[in-house]
Amino acid sequence: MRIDISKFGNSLVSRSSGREAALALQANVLRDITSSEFIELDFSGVLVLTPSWADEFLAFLRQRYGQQIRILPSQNSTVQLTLETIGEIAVSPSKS
Amino acid sequence: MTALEWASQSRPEEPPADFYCRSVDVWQGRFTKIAPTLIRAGIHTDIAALFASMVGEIGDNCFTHNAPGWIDIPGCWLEYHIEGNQIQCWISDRGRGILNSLKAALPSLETHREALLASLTKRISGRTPEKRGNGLKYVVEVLTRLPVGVFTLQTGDASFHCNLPLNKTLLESSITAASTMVRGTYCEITATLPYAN
Repeated sequence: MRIDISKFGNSLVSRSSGREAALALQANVLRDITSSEFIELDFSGVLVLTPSWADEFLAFLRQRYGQQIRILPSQNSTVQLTLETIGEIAVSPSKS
Repeated sequence: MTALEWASQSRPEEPPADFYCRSVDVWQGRFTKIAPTLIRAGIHTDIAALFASMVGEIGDNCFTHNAPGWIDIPGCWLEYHIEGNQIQCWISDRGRGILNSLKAALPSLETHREALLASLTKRISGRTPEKRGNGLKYVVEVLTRLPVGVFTLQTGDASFHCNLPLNKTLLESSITAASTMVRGTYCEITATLPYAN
């Protein structure tokens, strides 16, 4: 399942909104996901991302979905630098 | 009144309405205009986004490390002016400052200088037991990528002041004693950003 992260906004900055986004994603989209399905996070429509937002968002999802979470590569400089800063690595999309 | 005067004066007073972000909602509403405004001014999208993300990280700290424990006036001061490809930006708060914030995680910290250096170089968060503390390390990385300008971050009597792009080997020596004591934090950024082709 691919998630368009820009649907949470194109400037993703605060810790509180990162956590709220993760909670909303879990409740509204991931409720029925199976444990064999990848959750691909697509940041390509995001203009501004910060470690505060990404830390809260990804820590929450990693805790619940572990290696099901995959972050797709992005050309955006703030997405790349944020992922590097928080120790996350983008991977190519799965073929389906 | 300037952002520095507001952050350092002993008398509590609300900032001018144009610059005052009393709540995180007001802050976010104003902050999210920075990158689009820079892009409309013709600035390279990647650089505009990097600049805005740095402001976002610093401004968000004003809330996440202080609420609801500000000294007196809640929220932060956010002011910016764009002229051509030059931007000047000020962010400040009357919060507990970096030393008091980080002491929760690192009780051995004694001075504002030690705390400021730790915040810029170590993965440490004042919101222990949370495993965070990436924000100002991220800011340092952005500073190495901005082509021309000056950056200042002050807390208490310690001030980190550097030319852009930042040479990280000079980071520690760029922290000096400030003449004015800031209650909380104060940041000033002046940058000349490249136009998109």
